[in-house]
Amino acid sequence: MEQMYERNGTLTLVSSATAIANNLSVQFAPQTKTAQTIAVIHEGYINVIPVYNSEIRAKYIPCVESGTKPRHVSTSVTQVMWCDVKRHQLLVVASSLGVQIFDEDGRVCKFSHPCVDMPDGGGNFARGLALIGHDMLCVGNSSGTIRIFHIPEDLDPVVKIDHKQVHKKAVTDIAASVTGGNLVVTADDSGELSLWRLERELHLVSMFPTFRYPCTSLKIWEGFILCAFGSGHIRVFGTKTLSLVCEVAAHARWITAADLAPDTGYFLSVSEDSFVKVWQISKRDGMVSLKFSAQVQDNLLVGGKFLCSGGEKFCVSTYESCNVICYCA
Amino acid sequence: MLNEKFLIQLFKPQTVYNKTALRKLFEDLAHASIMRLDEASMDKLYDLMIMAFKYQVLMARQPLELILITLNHVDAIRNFVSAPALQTQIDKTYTMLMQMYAHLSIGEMQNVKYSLLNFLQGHRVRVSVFLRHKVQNTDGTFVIPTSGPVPAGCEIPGCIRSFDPDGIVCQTTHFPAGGEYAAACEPGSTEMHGNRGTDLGCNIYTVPATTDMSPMNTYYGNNNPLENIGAVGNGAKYQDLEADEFLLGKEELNLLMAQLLGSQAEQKQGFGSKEIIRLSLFGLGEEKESNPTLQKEELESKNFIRIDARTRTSTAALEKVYDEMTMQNEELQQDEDKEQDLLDLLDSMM
Repeated sequence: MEQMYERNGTLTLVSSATAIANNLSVQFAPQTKTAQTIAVIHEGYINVIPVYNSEIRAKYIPCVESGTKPRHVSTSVTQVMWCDVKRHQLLVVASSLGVQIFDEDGRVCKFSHPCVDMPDGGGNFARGLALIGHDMLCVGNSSGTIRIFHIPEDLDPVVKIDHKQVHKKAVTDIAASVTGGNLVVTADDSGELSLWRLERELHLVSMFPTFRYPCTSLKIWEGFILCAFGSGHIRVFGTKTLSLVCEVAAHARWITAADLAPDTGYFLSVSEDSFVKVWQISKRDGMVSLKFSAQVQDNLLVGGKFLCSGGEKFCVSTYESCNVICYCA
Repeated sequence: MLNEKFLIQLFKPQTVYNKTALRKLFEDLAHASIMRLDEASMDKLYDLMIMAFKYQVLMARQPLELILITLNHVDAIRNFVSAPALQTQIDKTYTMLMQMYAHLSIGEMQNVKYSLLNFLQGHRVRVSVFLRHKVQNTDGTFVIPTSGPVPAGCEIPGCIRSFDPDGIVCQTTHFPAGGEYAAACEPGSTEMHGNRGTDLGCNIYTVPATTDMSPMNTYYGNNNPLENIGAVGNGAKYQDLEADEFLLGKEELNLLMAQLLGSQAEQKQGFGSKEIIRLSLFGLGEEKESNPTLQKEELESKNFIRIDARTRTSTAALEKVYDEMTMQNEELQQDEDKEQDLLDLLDSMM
């Protein structure tokens, strides 16, 4: 294994990264394939930090119900995602308030939905975000339900298309792919993993075997479903064969986040064991090989993302730290 | 602390306490005993407690271990008490804990772990015992071990398996693990009495020994609890590093419990009950029976200090504490040095 990456800098957050899965998101510049800003959650706030461009200012966005003042922010943000919907770039936030769609700046909340099934239950939250194609937003929640919203070009109106209880426990992550006919893969806290196809509504394609530990991070790539588990395993399933193709004992502790570089099939995993590892996924047969491994000593890693679609650069975030550590090939 | 009404309130679904409320709760608990702590001492005690707990949460190798850690705490309390009524109270606590957490999935427990870590975020106090055992860095962060057993249900990193369409392994390749990890141990027991399989949540001040049999030291575990965190126990007994001083600490905790439960009993009965006093005598029950004079004195007494008097001849350190306790309140407040002594027993923090 060659050490193909080197640590090449640190980005500084306004406030430290919260312990939560997948706590790092990237905004890519429109049309280009390079990172413009990164977002890291601190409790009810979102740190938005420029990556290379010094003209962009850092932002610190409080997540509050639209129309209220951010005096006491008691929200728990669970996931953040940027998405390109037609000509717009939108910031989608999942939290204890449900789902909110902000403009690119994170200033104006354009749409919100509580995503609650049992209003009196308490402790509700939205978690799991994915964009299907160009205009379908998929949102999971704490009771295992998935909602699909259609986002028209001018955002008016955002319409809920479907709403289906797909799991018994809280959704952990969602991934989607248009190739193979709008596939959606979902995972929950109990370790269940299922594959769906979105036509007019969601249809179950297959349930995968469970491995006791939940899958915390999901990707779909070239006919393969890539899953990172709490047990430290990475598993690859075929979307056509629906069977397990490859299994990796990757980390010694919980894998907190994973990412994929679509141009090259590089797969990134970060863990509570303080290691960040980059893997190569074979486009041909879904086999996995280790490309790079580095320890960020005594850091409980909570987020990791590639900063370009070829996977030559990536960065990782750490619980209780304002430093986002960058690596470059 | 394990009062049934209090527990029922505690187990009601609710958002995480804010830090001010938690701090106030512990202040009230501490001051329910004969301990009188000034602001600085209370700060130290609170920081020590928070950091020790943060260490336990961070070092839990997988989230279900949080339940085992909690049971280690409950087991320790059980070892402090001998009265059947109090044992029942602890059994009830155990049942409530298990009802609440035993059915949760690993993923749900991971959410609990995240909530706790986020509540503890920003607490970075250096604790001498952790620094001494090299489990904490000088900047207050904890060392994340790259050795020792992996969590139950996990495997040592380093193996890639490919499967054929029939689900049979057709190729296995290996890569360096990146650490000196060992295979997973048997998961700890969540039975009422059992080997928890982890030392997290046990007394961090114990060192191995062969002779001491005091109730404080009935933990089972590896030779060095801090270097083998989370390892499955081998049945060694422990002795306190500074046994004399810890006997003092033990008495303190005893009295704290007695006082807590005492105030409840007093409300019901109008005066301190005999059972409560017994509680504070733990480990000394036989002596009590052999000494009717003291027992009589004790029965008449609502004052815990007298109970302590029975042991004052046993060690010089206890003698000293006895002297402190019998002081008038004003004197106690004046004498900050002696309060400090009491706290130094719990920890010398940096």
